Amino acid sequence: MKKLSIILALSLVLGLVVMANGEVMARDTVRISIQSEPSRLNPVTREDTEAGFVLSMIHDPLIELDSQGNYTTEGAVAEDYEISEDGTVYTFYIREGITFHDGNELTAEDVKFSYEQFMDEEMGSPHHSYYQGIEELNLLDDYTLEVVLESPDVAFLTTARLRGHVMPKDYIEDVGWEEFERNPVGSGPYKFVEHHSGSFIELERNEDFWHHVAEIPYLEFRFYPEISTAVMALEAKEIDFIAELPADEYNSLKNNPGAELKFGSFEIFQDHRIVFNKRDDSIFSDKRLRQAVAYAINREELIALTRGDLAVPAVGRVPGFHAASAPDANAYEYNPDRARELLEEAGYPDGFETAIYAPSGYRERVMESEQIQQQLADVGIQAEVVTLEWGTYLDATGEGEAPIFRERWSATAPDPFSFIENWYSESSWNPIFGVYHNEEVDELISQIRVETDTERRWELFREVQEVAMEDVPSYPLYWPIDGLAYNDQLHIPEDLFNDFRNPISHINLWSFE
Amino acid sequence: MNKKFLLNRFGRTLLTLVGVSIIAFMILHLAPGDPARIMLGQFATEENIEIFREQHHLNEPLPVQYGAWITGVMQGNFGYSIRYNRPVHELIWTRMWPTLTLTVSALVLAVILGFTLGILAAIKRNSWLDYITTIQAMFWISIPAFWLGILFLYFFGLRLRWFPIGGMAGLASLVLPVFALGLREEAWFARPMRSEMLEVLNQAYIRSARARGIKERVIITKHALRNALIPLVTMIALRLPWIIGGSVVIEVVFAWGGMGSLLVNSVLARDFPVVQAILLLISFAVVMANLFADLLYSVIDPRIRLED
Repeated sequence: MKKLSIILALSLVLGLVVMANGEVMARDTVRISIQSEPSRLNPVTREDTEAGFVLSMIHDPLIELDSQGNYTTEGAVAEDYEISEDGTVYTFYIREGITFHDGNELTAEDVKFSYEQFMDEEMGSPHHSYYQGIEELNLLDDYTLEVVLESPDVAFLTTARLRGHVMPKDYIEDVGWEEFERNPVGSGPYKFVEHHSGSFIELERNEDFWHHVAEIPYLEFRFYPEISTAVMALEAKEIDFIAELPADEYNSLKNNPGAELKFGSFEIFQDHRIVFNKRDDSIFSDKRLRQAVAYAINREELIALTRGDLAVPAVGRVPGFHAASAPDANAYEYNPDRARELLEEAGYPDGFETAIYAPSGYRERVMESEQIQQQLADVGIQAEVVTLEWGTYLDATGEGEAPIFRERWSATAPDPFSFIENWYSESSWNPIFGVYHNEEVDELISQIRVETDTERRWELFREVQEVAMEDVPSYPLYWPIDGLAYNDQLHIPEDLFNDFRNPISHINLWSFE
Repeated sequence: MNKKFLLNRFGRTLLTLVGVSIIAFMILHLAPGDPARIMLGQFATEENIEIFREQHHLNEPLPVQYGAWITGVMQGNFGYSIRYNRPVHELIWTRMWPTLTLTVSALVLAVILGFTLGILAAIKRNSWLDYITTIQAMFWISIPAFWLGILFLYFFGLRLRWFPIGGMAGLASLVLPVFALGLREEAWFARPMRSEMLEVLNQAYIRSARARGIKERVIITKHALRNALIPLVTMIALRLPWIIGGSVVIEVVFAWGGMGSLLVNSVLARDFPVVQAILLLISFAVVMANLFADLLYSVIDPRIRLED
């Protein structure tokens, strides 16, 4: 009995080990881990970034961005485009000879169709509002589309670029959206092969791609809900790249000399900040108290705590690498004495009690809020940290219950307008971020909306940030840097390492060494 | 008598199911925040929120909503996933097989290992084997499933490279999650098996069998084991819920795309039709396992029927 069971157990283990036989590295497939299974593969209604990663390889963009954030037609469906003098008519000249994966040719009709999907309220795109300013879509010929706007909109190309998806009209009308989501078709560098539910999405190279045919024949997006597992799989070279690698994992990988990995990093179009509730009944309707909080915060300490090298302290809102950044705006460098002075001026020499709200699902934000709590205590401000589940957090912040809350803003590239949009009194986002009224700021934002001269526009951006930062409607903490770690046999071109191009949007340019 | 017992048991089961379905349904409404706003995000317009509420009948009174939902469920219609825009039953159907593969394999492993170790420990009472059995059982029970999974991946995946790190690439990737899940359960079987066996071995009929000079091996396999196994059979049915529960964590750690990881994903994405359906299904499985254990016990041991 005993012998028998030992033999049985041993043979079981041995058998399993033999079956496991070390996987042979297939260098014709690049494997990318994403945290969750993409929702629907629908370019119009998708809300998660994961679906965007997959679809951006299947589709082509109407207009591309270069590494500096300028619009370009290189690699884009539009061969050329024109904007009328008054800024209301955008004419797109579509490249001839592009075919969709189902063999049909891509024409201006498909571009028009794609616009109509985003405009269609029934479709329910989260970006729907960006397309409301479109008055007419006129097909001038098979390869020319004219988009007429109700009023000039300088940021139209930023917000209404179809999120990088020119969609096949005939295919979608034939099979319907539900089937399209199961078998998406586009004109991009990779073709959809199969969605293995719960496991991975498989794509293969489009051999007839009109631009850069992909170097690597197969592409897999694998779902790893637990980041530590993905990191181990990366170290074991079972995957080649982790999308959206958290800063702490990047830092620990980088400090691990044994890992056979390459690293890269770039600043992204995002800022992290705390927002004050400035409604009349809030203690922070007093500007001096907002300034006192700003002076009391030591941002270097926060960055060291959660991001290591992967952030720079913010000055104003538009990230430092962008021409519209305002390096001369008031940064409220750490100065606890000044904070105490301001408290005294405002009639709170012994400080006051307040609260910092943070969404519980975001560990970094909670940790930083706790650090801020300690820093505020040094100048006498007693802040409670309130962590709430996301739904409650939204209610508490939107309705003015939270005096201070910890926010993050990702702007739609390349135009920085959305960074400052919520300062505008009439903006629907104004109440969400604590209500802010300043006539001078309103006036500057109105000018920015219609200014077509780029240099002048950036100047206005600098000005509006300088003015607003005197009021500190929110206090910018830092601009994050994205850290990438990937298989050291993988080659990713240098010019992709910026938030405008982004490695993950151009996997067709990757290769194995 | 027998009929009354059955009716009683089925009646209770039905009541439990109704209660469970109400709780599964209420989860959405008990969670803080407005479901429509949570689903649509921070910047949704009031208009869109109203449309969403209409579409999902969120404006109706709760009992009406529950009625509509449960009627659908009984017809096999769990509604549409908001995140995936697909019928929920279709999602669950594809995700059920990986979960069944994982849980059934883990259960088989746990039963074989647990019973074997328990029996050996009883026979060789107070030997090193007995102590090791106890210690290893304590070890597996006290270590959190999540941590155990990470340790397995680190040693057998990353360091030794014996098994793939997560994913569902064939049989090899099944091994680590099955052991991570099964070893914990094995611990639950080994200890009771040992004490049952000891109890039986002290019975008078075993002593008389020995006195009659029957071989020890025959006594153990033919006389003792059969009687000791009876309570253990129901034990298996009762541990089933724990295996299913444990598989949720294990699936996430091992990137195993079953119902557990779908559940976690759906909770995070507030995809409540999916969450409700999975909760209901898991509860159903648990309630059924309990009923099965009850019935089995009464078949094996008629005294249970009389007491009722």
